[in-house]
Amino acid sequence: MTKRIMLVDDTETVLMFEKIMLSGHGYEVVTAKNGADALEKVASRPPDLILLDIQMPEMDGIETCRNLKNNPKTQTIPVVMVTTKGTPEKVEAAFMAGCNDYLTKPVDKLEFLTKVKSFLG
Amino acid sequence: MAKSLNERIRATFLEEGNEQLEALGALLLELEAHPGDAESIAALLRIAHNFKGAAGTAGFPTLANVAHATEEVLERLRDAKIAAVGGVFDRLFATVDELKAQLGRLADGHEPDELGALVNELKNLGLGSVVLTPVAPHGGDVVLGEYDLVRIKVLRKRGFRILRLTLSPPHTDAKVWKWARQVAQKLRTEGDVIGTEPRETEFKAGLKFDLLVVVLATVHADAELRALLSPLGADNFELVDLYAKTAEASPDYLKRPTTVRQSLKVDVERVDNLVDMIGELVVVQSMVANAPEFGAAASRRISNCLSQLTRITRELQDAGLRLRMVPLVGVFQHLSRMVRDLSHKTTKEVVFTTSGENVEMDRGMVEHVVDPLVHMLRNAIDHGIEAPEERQRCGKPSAGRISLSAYHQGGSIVLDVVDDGRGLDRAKILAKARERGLLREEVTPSDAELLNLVFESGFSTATEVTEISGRGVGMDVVRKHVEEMRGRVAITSTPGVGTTIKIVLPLTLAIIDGMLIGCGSERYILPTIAIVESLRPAPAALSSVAGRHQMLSLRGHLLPLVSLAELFHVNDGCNDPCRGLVVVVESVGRRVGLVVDDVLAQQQVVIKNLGQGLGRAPFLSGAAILPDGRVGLILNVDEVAAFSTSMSTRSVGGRRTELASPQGEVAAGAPASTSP
Repeated sequence: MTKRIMLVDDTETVLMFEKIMLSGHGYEVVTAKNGADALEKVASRPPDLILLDIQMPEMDGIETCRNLKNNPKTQTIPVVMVTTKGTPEKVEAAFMAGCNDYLTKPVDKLEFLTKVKSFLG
Repeated sequence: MAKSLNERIRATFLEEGNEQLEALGALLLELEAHPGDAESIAALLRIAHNFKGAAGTAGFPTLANVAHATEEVLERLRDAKIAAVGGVFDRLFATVDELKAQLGRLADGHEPDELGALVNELKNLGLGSVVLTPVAPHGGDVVLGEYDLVRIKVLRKRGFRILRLTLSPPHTDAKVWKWARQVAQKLRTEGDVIGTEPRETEFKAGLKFDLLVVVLATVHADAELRALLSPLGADNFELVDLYAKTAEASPDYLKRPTTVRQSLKVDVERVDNLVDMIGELVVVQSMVANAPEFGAAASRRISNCLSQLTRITRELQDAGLRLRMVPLVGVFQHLSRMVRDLSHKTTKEVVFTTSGENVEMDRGMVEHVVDPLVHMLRNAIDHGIEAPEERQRCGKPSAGRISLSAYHQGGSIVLDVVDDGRGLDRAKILAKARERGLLREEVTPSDAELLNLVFESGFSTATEVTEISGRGVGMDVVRKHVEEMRGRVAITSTPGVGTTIKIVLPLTLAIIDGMLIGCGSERYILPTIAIVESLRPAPAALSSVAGRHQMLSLRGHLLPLVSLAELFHVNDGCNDPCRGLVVVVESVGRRVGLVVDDVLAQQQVVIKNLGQGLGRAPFLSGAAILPDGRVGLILNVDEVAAFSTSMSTRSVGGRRTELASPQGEVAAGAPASTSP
């Protein structure tokens, strides 16, 4: 069965870049523009992995993650935070919110794919 | 002695700094062996902080900056912002080594190097990536990023153990990378894989490795992990809990880190023995150097050798004496505690400050200095400092201040106890002294003499005996102890403002700086500390009391004269101050002129006891072997001064006025002839 990956980012360029990296590896890719959008889409069709940007307007990645992890229906979905080089406090908050792993922007293609594969097999 | 304050601070810093760096090195080793050990980190932080303070004080901001950056790294370690792993330690050890090297430069008289690069390196240490040194001999390193360390911190808070697994692959064929991936995936089902070596991104065809290292966060027990991995043939791994405290008890010195010092315990007797022998060596060296045979026929080579011998002997002597020196910090800590407890008992508020904890003192003296200080501080709290209400009435802050300070002055160590209490009540002292028969009605003592009465035995002005200071022992104990150490004690006091007691002690009990005094064919040694001046008076300045006791009029003051020849029955000694010399000496506020033939030389002498036969001979405090091999007797200035004062007071008053003192017996009896 094809694994579904959700990319959440408010920057179109990043979404595009991530999509291109994932293309040809047999995943189904869906995107969301912000946290609220992501939660909605997850509720309707849960993905197998979520790549979540931290810095987003309205509901940021940390709060989104907290929401996902506090909901019994979605808490088993692995969440990988994708961050710019932020403060350690931000990253700590992300882990506290329950994210499973992280990637730093600019994302290295090999690392990106390895991480995705490590969660999806 | 003529070192500037700056030089002294630098010298102290060099010594202290080296000790601190040694301690840092030892603690780093400990921390590396037991990562995450909170006590080690706390001790490291404290020492690094102290070093920073010391370096700053001594005027080396570059070293202070390095220490500050080191402190920050340690803080990051403490807060688990970076992992306590190999790369960090390498850098910290290197930093300690660099600081040691810089202290070496300072000791050689250079200024420290510019260390900005090191500071920057430390500032970034662990924030980029941290290298984990694997346990396995052939493995690579697991590289952890800054965020991995944040993740570790969070996971640890949640009760995860952070483990490092070192696994041997069951085969080394081309498919070994698949095995590695399977291991990582399997582990991920039961925990968080934080990092691997080789890295997961390298898990692809062609990858070759001998060992797989995985840093894993898990809540599972070791056995469960082995069960999990056994289907992969990977259950034979080495496991290290990166933040575990090992079961072994940490060494004692880590439990009480304030005592972390590099030291060697040596039997005191051995040290004393060594110092004694050095003393003998000094004497022999000085005999050789002064031998007339050398003086006459000394070749350039011999005189060079002799001066070198002299220099080395002096250094050896200093080094020997330093062996016996200990800092006063222990005593001061003990006293601070005592003052705190006492002030609580009396309901008086006392702010106690100390300075000069690092001043070093002869081991033997430190023991003797405790009792006097205890007495003085008890007195200050009990009699000096007023109750808070009384202080407020006088317009003083309700908390009294007592300060204890130690410092070097000339060749002596000075201990000051200063309080801002009510001061000594002179009328009360006078009344009490008369009541106790310490002073006759008709005698009016000088202010200094009056204040010094408090050092007389059996004297206490406290109206009632209190639990704290009135146990029948008083300031006489202070004077007794101080005099036993060849020291002096002086008291000054201003009513309503406070009291200062000053104890002046020689640097060591073993050696004194003396003046060699000639009296006929005899040689005496007068402690330099007691000498005020020497002069040859004009006959007009002399006056005679009762046809016998000579007085010298010196700048408007009458000074009793004591002839050394008379005192010790030296037949060929000079009795006439106008032909010989008058050496003015001071003891406990009293000045006396000693009539001698001549002042021959300044001499450092090693004090020897007079031996069982003579015991405590009057007017003498010991003997020393002089450079020419003869024995010189060391004068006890306090006894001589007390004797002459009592003689002159007696004569002036026309009858016996008992300015009694511990020397009373001596003053009363005729001095025995003790000249050798």
